[in-house]
Amino acid sequence: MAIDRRSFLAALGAAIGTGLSPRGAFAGEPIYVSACTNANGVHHVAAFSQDGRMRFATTLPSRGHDITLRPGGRELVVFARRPGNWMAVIDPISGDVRKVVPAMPGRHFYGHGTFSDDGRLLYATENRVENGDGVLGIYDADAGYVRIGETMTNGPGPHDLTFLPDGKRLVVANGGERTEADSRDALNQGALESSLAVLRAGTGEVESHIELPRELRSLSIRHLACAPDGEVVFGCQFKGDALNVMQLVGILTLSGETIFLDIPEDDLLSLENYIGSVSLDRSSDIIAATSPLGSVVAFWDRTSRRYLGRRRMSDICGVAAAPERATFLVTSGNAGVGMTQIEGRAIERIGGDLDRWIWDNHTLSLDRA
Amino acid sequence: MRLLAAMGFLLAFALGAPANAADHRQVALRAAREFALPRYEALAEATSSQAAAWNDACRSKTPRDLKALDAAFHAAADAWAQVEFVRYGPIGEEFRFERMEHWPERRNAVSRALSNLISRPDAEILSPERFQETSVAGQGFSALERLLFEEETRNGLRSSAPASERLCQVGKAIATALATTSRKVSDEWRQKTLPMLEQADEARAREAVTRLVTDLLTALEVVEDFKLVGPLGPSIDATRPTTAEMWRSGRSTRAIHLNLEAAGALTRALLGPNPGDEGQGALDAIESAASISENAPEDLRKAVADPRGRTKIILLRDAVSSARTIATAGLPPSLEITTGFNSLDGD
Repeated sequence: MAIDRRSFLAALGAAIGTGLSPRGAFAGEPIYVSACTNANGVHHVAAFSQDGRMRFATTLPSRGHDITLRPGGRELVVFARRPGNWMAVIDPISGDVRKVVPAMPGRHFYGHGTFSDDGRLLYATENRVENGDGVLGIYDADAGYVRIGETMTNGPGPHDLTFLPDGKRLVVANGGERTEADSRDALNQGALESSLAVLRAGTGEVESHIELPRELRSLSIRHLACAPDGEVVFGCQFKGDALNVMQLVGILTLSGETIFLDIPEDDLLSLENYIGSVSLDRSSDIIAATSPLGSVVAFWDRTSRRYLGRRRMSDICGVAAAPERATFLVTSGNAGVGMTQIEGRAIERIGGDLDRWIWDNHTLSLDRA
Repeated sequence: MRLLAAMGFLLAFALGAPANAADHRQVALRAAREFALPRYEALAEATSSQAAAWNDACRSKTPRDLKALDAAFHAAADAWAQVEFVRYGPIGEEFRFERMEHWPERRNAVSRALSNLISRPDAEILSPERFQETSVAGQGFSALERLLFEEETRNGLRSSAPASERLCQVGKAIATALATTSRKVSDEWRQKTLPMLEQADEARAREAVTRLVTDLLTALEVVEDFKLVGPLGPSIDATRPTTAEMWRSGRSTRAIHLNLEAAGALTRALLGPNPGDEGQGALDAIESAASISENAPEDLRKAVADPRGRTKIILLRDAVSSARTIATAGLPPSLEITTGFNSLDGD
């Protein structure tokens, strides 16, 4: 279903940040941004503070997925859920839509994107519709987000991506699924081509291409979180026999190897072969991975690789670092928003307005980005 | 632009207004009072009787007669199947759900956990406090069924051999844990969840309804994809009979029937006296699948490999599949909710 470009732009032109907050109010205060849906099924992108107050809620023409902050804090970019026809540039304070960038003909947005350190270039994961190859679309933010080129991701179904700390290389999670034009269904079920590709941002050259061992070919690597030392945490979804159980969370180490993090069997089973989001805490020492299928968030210590336990929250998916160490903000599709610590007990609900929304897959912490 | 902003604000305000504040609370309260509370109370009673039966059995002289244990198991498993799919409320806390039943079994987790409990010599691991810390796969109905109905352990339980005592103590520990958890869940529904719903604001009331509907739709998915399609396998030459739920005790079809009946009962409670067209459609589809399951071959494990039996199981699968489609489309709008989507179609 292709969206007619003009009506689509009109839809977003009429999409208004409701302007609940005075300008400039978020300095110093932790603000989170997430795609969400209201009780009537209308899709939005919303920002809220940690005390549960909504800062803005801007309507979107279809479900949003991830959000990225332009360095310098000038703009947020929201990506449509895959296969997506748009990305939207949003004012981070008011939520006003500044610009809508439709997908290039023959390409779909695939849900995630990230900026170069200087904030000039935006890299978005995209699908080449005709053959299912993964590409990174490159956009010049200074020139109104004009698409200046693209580079191959070396695998189908690119999803999340992250810059390494040198600011020169990008890691892309190629989910490995080839899909038909407008569909989300994999054509190559059972023979996924998932991989991590390390690309030179300047030239698009593939510096390394890491595939999982053959026996793990039904794992789809989807989400990433990069630590300041260059280790990249990845979360997977298992697409094979539902009666099988696979390790799901791993690290791309500094030496370029992939290792999977140990977890007790009871806890692994409760992840239901599905990780929806991964995050590092403020110190980057603690890893959190959420499973909306299992309604579980699990934690590890990144340095020691030690498993730290899990917490339960219905339909949990979004997870972002909170200001305090070893603390995360977590969001749910049917149980509001909460704060969770690796120490202590149940997840604490924030409540208030946040309970009124259906929170989508990812949450971005603004003051950390 | 400013005018548009003002209009957008008004629109957002209108959409966000709690038009059904009382309704969602009434819906949640009906589901609690007519469905959850009585069923959890029945489960607490049935599992308590089962624990008492094991207590008696372990004190009785060998060789043991297992008739009372069998009857107690079937009664408790019936009560469980009638509320099994609910995750909302106290069953979802402290990982209670996964302690109650561990199915589908993956990596032979139940078998390994049970062997471990049986082969360890210490009595202390079977004390209620320590037992909680053992593998959850060994703590619930799945492990108890295997202990009681798998030939080797069943013969062991009956016999006068020295190993019989340990088998009985393991069974007693599982039955006690099931009774304790079920009692806690029932009490907390009465003492915490129900009063919370009675006071709930619109957001919390709608959350309760949304999560119960999500649980209900998930139940239809589990019945179709795991309880039916799993054992059916891709063809009559490639069936997977031992992936059926509780096949050792011959409960596979009965469990499906009770699950579907429960799904119908919850749908009825949620919709109340005026279900509307879409709601009625969903209710009819679920009740039709439940009634087809009542006449499905009792031994699912055999039926999937028998041409005539297989046809009946496929018919049941189709009825469940169609109920799932109709309910997924019809229930959320008729109850004025939108189900959370992370667990249904994440990315």
